[in-house]
Amino acid sequence: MSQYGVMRHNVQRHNEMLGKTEPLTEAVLLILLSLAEQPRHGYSILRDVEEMSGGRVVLSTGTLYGALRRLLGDRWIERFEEEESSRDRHAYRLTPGGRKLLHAEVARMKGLTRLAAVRMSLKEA
Amino acid sequence: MLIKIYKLLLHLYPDGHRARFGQEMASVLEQAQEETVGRAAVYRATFALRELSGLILDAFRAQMESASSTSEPWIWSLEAPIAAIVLYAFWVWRSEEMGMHGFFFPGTYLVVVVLGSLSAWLIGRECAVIQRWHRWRRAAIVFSIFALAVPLAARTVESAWASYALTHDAGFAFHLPGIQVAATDDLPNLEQKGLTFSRILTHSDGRPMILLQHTNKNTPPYLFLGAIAVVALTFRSRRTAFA
Repeated sequence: MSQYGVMRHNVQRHNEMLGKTEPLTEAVLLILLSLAEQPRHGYSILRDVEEMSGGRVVLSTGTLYGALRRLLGDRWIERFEEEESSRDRHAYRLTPGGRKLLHAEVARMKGLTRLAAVRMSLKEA
Repeated sequence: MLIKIYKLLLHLYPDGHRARFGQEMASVLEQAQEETVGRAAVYRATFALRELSGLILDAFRAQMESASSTSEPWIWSLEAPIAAIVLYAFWVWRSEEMGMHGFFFPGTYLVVVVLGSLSAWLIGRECAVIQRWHRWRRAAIVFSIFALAVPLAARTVESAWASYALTHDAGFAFHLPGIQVAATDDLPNLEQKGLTFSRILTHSDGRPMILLQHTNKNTPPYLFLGAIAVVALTFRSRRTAFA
């Protein structure tokens, strides 16, 4: 199997591991990355996503909570009450399944990047 | 002001989402808004627009998700709209007045389908607006509204087409077995064929234009038969599901 073939196989395998056919949207990926570092509450996620993307991705609260609702439904994240908070607010953290998914997604993206590099170098050669 | 509008718009979400996230969302918005204090008016306007549009879009998506997760199949929720259409079609079929009142005009089907889908959603999709009411009461209310809305919508579409035809001095016609629908000013030709018509409209210069919806005695009641078939399918679907 050629190098290109191996990489294509790897990308397919990662998709199968994720149990999905579509890659994550950028907003969802950034939210998951934000929670990968530490549990956060809603406002902290908003700020972190904006910071990570260099101000390119600015989520509205509606978009954020829509994504959180779906991630909670898929059990990729979980919600808990912050004990030390003076205000009655909830925070979110990755579940083990969500962390595995994030790893698989990042690996998929790495595979794609390698694949792109190979294809482009073949074209240029 | 923005917070007040935002809290009001939170009611667009299904009850479950609002109870779970509503307070938290408003709290996050308050924190985000604090950061806009002292910024340029354009920045604050963009912020408000983004927040409100984001909320409306996500509320719509949440309603759709809630609708698709309901266990009741779509076709079961169509009983009230179908009953209203059957009633209307029967009345038109039996009435002395000629024609189907717009049911054969382009665009009318689209209006009826949209109204029917909305009605089905209200009945069986647990829409937040009337989900607290008992199902039969939801069906009865939707039936009453739909029975009024369908004739109104059909006539509105008919009038819109007639108005368009008059303004652009254009006629149109199409035929189905036993039915001819036309907007034309070729009156002598129609009289020669022995056709009757529902309405005479006039151009701005006084020339007559006829809005014709002609049926003869052998006209099959398309709509009526179609609606009966859908009712039969619905009941069959129910019986199969409960067997």
